[in-house]
Amino acid sequence: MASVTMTKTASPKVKRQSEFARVMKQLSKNKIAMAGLVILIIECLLAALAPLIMPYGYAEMDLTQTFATPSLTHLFGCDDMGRDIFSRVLYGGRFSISIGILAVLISVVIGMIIGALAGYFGGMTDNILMRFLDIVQAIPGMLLMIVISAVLGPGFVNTIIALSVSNIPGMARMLRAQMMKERDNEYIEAAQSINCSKMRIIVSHLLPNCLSPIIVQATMGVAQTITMAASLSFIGLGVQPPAPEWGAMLSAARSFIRQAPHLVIFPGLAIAITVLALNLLGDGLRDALDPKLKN
Amino acid sequence: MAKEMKKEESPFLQIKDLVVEYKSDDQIVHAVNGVSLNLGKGRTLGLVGETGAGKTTIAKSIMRILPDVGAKITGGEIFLDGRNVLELSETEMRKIRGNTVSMIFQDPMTALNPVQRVGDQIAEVVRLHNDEKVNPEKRAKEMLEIVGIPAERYYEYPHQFSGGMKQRVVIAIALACNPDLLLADEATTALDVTIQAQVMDLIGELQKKYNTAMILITHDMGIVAQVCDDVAIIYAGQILEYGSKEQIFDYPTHPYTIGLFGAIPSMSGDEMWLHPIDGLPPDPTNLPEGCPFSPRCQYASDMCRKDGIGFHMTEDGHQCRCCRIEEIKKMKREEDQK
Repeated sequence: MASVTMTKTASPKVKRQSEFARVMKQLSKNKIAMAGLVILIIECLLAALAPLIMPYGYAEMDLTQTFATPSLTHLFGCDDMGRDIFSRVLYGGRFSISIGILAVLISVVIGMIIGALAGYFGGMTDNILMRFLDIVQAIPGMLLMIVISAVLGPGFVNTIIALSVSNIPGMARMLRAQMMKERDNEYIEAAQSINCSKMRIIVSHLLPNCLSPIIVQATMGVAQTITMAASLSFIGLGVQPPAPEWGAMLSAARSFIRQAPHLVIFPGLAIAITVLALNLLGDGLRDALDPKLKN
Repeated sequence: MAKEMKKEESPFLQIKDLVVEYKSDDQIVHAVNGVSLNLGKGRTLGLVGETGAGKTTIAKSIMRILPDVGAKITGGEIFLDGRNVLELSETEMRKIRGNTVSMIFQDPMTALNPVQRVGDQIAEVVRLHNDEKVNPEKRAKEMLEIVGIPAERYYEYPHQFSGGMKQRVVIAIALACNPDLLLADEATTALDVTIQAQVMDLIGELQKKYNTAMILITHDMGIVAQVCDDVAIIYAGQILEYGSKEQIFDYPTHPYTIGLFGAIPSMSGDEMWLHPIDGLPPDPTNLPEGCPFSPRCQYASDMCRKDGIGFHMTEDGHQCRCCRIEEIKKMKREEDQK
């Protein structure tokens, strides 16, 4: 072994760096993405701790305060029934953000299963699964969501289902393409040659290598889903009053848009800020996960 | 040397008339056309040939890891330790893959999973093949040390390793279960000569230690001269010449082999031009009749374009698939005299 001992002199102090740590380090260099992340964390905290922060409940009415303009007692003012808009925006975050995240999570999981099977096995499996997704995608997204919510009826869970179904084809397609790209790599052949089962190759070798674009797409997807959820609520499907979902608030306030614009401005602003923060974070993640920028 | 091999009743690995085809749309690619090989334990066979000659396909056939779609072994037998690999069930095959037979891949840059720790990748093969007795992590660290990488680097990722170190990790994976047969598919092509020498030394040492048989796929005649016992020259999915290293290097007989050696630039002479073999390898979807090398062969005659050219035994075990050996020998002698 004399000929190979030279490498033993290599520094043993090389940092153990996991992929996650590396991505976080890369991400922390990107100020704008970090700003997005911080805004999101603050929003989530505010939504979660809303009952502790706010003196008013989201359905608490004070008819003396109807259409109250923003003041120190009611920071964002009050709506047509005298409910504090600030509380409603914070509570609304619980619905909007969780709808966004859950719907994307469901579509990522289902899309990943379909995409992985189609991409790995190819041939017939791929054809059948993809033609099925073609059918789903042939229906305009908004229309599909409206149909599903109309059939299942409005409500929190049904909204999530409606939103996730229309997201599945995109996710599946993306993972399929990624799988097909990674499938031909030599390390997959190597995995076969040491006798990994198909399941093992898909789950522990292929999926981790296909995740980066999915993570980026999912982050952006949450933003898109929040606006979609808002549109569903706006047309009366989705989360029902008095639950203060942001889109529902916009919808309810649209008749007073001239007399009391603050009813529309604050929930609209909440949506805009959240979506912006998610998009900034998604962009940053895309850069951090890009293997071309590694080291 | 070839005599010793013949004495063994049944060699460890025996390939008989292997035929492999790839189907794509309505074309059939004849990748391997009737290859027969013997390999004893502890010996090294060099498969030499141009890109696309079917070397890797032979290796993959032994492990049965040809792509699911399109590739098909249409004929022949592969005996490993007396058992026909092509008839084994998938369950039995699993015991062989990575354990009895393992493969070193060509490109160290892509042969490791980029998002898995290198140590875990070595441990994986141990985990898949050994029962509780062996601690996979311990064995993986041991293997790292054997290939000359400090065990502390178990927890690092492939991108933190240099090319040569990655190739050593690939070798560590291949050797972790002490295979009886090692398939080295251009194991050193992607490395520079210094690392190449180190890696070959390492493989050689481990081979001696565990009495491993090896098939070395390469197009580097230098490496063949350094490590192989036997050599098979592959062209268009056929063995054109087969014999011990000494026979092939000292008395190349087939016009193709002669051409291959002629293409190696000599270090001593002041040569302005390389001497390539004219023409290109034949289209594997449309092989010429008779000798596949005949369209490029300067000695080709009408006889060469007829099917069924068998092997000519020239010396002990030295085989050559050419029907004009004697004429060529004579012509060469005359040329030399001039």
